[in-house]
Amino acid sequence: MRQAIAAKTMLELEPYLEHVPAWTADELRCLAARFKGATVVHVNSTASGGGVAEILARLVPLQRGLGLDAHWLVLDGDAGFFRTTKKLHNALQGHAEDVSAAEWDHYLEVNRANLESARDLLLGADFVMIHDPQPAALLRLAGGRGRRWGWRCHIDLSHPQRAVWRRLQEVVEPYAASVFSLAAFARRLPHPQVIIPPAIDPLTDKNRPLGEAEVAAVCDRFGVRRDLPLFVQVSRFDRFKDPLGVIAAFRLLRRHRAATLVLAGGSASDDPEGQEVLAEVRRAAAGDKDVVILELPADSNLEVNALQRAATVVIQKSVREGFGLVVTEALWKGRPVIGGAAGGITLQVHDGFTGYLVRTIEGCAYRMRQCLRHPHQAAEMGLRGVELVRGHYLVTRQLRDNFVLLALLRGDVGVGAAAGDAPA
Amino acid sequence: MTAPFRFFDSARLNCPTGVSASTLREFRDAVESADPGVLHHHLRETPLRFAFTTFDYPNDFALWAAEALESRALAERLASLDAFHARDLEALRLRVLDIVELGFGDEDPNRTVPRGQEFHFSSSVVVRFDLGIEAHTLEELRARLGEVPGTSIYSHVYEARLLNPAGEDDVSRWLGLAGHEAQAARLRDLDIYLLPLEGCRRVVLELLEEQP
Repeated sequence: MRQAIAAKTMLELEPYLEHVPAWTADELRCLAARFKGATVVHVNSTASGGGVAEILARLVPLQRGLGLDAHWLVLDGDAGFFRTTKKLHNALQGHAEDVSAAEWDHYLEVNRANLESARDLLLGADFVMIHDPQPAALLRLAGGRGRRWGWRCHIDLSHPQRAVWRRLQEVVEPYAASVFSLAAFARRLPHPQVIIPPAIDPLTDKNRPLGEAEVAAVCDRFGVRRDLPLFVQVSRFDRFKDPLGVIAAFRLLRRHRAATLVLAGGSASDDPEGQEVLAEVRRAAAGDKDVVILELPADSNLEVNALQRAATVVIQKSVREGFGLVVTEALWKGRPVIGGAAGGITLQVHDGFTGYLVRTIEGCAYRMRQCLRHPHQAAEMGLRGVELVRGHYLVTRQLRDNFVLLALLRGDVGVGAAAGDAPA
Repeated sequence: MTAPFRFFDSARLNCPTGVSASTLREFRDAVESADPGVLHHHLRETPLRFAFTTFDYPNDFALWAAEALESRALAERLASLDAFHARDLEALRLRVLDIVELGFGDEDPNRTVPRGQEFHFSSSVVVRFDLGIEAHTLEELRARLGEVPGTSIYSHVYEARLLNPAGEDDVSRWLGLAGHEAQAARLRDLDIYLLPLEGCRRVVLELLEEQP
């Protein structure tokens, strides 16, 4: 295993105080004081690319900045190992995959080799957080001897392929606690399970404030008109995100109002189904000058930020969704969101408060029209969305939750007051 | 001389129990066997999750009845449970069961909610800590109440009413001891059930601004 570069850096809280209440720093420092000097080792499978690496790249330096001896180790594996873990990932999210006995053996061998390369640090640490299935076998291979080990599962385990989950369950059970992003994603395990929803970082290119010139430059570059109301959906070209439904809703809207629609998604070059969906979307939008389809490279953070800020309303008409961090990003930019009533979107879009939840194409079109008809109301929803994210879905909250997790691993937590009967 | 008001705070995590309900009947059965901590979480910790929202349905059960079951009648009845006023969790459990079974008359108890809208029963774990902030006078108390985390307001106002023997929140108790009886009385009368945390903070500050 190797240390990720970000693990050697330190982030201070001060720049975040521009975005969160001043008490956030007091609260975090009080919690951090309980763990001053404690060694916390995070282990995952990649130092860059993907949501977990994005989280650790901020969380670990922030923990170090607050006085913890935080480390971030990245698993070493060969192509065969990562092919197997990709299969595990898919199977655990409910797709049909066949993982052979030889592949399981290789998975364990790679975990064993990684354990040997970092045995002293892992077994001497005060806390170890293992992220996702790739390094999950480390604890079992260490004989279940590590103190205060937690398993942080970032994926949706609500409907796993049973055979694969059963094997993984064996290596996950010895942990002291498991962490999931949503209650719906959790499995029944013989140890405490807690929920830590994901969060966005207000200082990154994807979320930092942008000037009007930066927003205009991105729109000009992509040929996006801003003289008409603009609806934007940013998401993979995936049937669960229902891009065709968004186009259909937009066309219903246009019977009443002129507008522009942007569907922006990551490159689908390595995803056969994504390519198929993208082709269908292009066919559906062909010849319509008001529908702009953008295939963006994976690192288009600034572009996504600008498109979300340029939008009048952001759409996320998913029919199935994980947490839906793209909704969090849009709310943070003060945009009302019309979202499918699925997964974590329902935690973020409160009907008439931060946007609208929709279940049909007609409902989506109706709410789009409503936002244009009542711009003042839409603007108010946008402002409330910013406060919702500020209060619940910024990285500082994630940092605080991680301190509670450490307390849980140390056996240093209580339950809600009056969990039994209150005193008479 | 009254001891200064000392601010505490709490940070918590939701803990799913692994039990979920997709029909009203499953919901009833799960409520019947739920740990007290689960009832406490869903009936009394809702303001922590909606700190900024003025919500129609002030507990998780009522919210689920309205949004997933789309049963306004059941939601209204569950919303009417004042979980901060009713301090006995077992009595609350029985009341919830009565209301749900009454709902069996209006609703098909076996109708399944749409996928993704199941009710997931959870409890919570909490870390309580001293913020190291004190107030010695009414003016200082007002100033600090405006600055501390919303979760600290929850601990001192909402939870304290459950924990203090006389059902009094920490702020009015301190005000009474410090000789500010008029403000203490106004605060004791405050109906917190329908207030989101930030709304509660605002109202408490307004009450403390008023002259005796």
